[in-house]
Amino acid sequence: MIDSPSLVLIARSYLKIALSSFGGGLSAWTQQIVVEELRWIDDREFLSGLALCRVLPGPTMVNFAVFLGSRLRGAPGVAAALTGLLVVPFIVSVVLGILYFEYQHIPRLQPTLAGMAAAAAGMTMGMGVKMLMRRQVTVSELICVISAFVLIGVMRVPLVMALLILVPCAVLLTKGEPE
Amino acid sequence: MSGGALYDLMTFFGGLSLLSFGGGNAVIPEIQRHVVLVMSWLNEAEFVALYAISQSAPGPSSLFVAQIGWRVAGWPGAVAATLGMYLPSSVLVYLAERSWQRFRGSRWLIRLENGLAPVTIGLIFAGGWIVAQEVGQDWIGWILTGGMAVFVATTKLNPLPLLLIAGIVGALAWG
Repeated sequence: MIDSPSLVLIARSYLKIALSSFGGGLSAWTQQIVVEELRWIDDREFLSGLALCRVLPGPTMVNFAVFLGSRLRGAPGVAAALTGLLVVPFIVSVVLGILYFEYQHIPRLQPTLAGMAAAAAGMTMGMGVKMLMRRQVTVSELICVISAFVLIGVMRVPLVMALLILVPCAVLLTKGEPE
Repeated sequence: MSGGALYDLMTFFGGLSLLSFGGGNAVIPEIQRHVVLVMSWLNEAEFVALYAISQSAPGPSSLFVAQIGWRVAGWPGAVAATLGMYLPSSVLVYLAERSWQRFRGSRWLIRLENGLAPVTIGLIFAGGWIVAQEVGQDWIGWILTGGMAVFVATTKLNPLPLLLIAGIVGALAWG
């Protein structure tokens, strides 16, 4: 890892992530900025941190901001990351709520946001493809990817139960394979 | 507005924070039950509209709780609900990260990470897939989803302009 970034840079980067994430796609934007642009962590750390943050209670990408802030700069890093991620969206969110209660509907807001949400879903899947291509994925890894997708995305098995099945199998399957 | 309302908001969302296994969306049904049915802070239509807005507004969609807090007790209510939702889980993640870091570089943690990586990529696909279905997709929606997926997977360009175009397409097609 390179030198620890300053608290201001952590906060600013998280603000950029937050403001880019129209329509959702917060995990894709986090990966884009933290891994691709800033190179603060690599794919493996990103993915294992993401797994930890999904298993623990709480909104996953807020958890991940805590995880990354702590990893980079300890408790002050957590405060910086959360400030960047939450303060401006908090204000935007409440103002949108106020507008909704004032006017009951904001013309064309809903379809605009729906279009962005459809694209943001694609962004998330594109991120998955990109990380797969970079790994020069083995057959056994591909089996793990597909099993996880089917169990969670198609069969909607509860996360903890799915992970209790998937993770031991994945650790055994990927045993001894080079990085 | 009363201190009682702020206390109610903070304790309700604070408890949920530690129960929201599987991410913020996992507790939406419980929020709906409490906010609409038990406390009557919002009616059903308001709940659904605010949920939809916060899903696609920038930042975490769980900031939905700030809108509920504002409705109950103004800006202080928004702050109370938000702190309640994020503080307990954040403390937990912080403690977990500290212990995770202690084992960095150990053989078993590297093996665990190697196993977790493909599983997490599968979860990422699942997440995108579930959202794409929830948007209520017609063929235009699937073109937006598929086009963006190809763009992100094959180029290193910033996807933000494409996201804004998708918003315009949505406004024209579904508006």
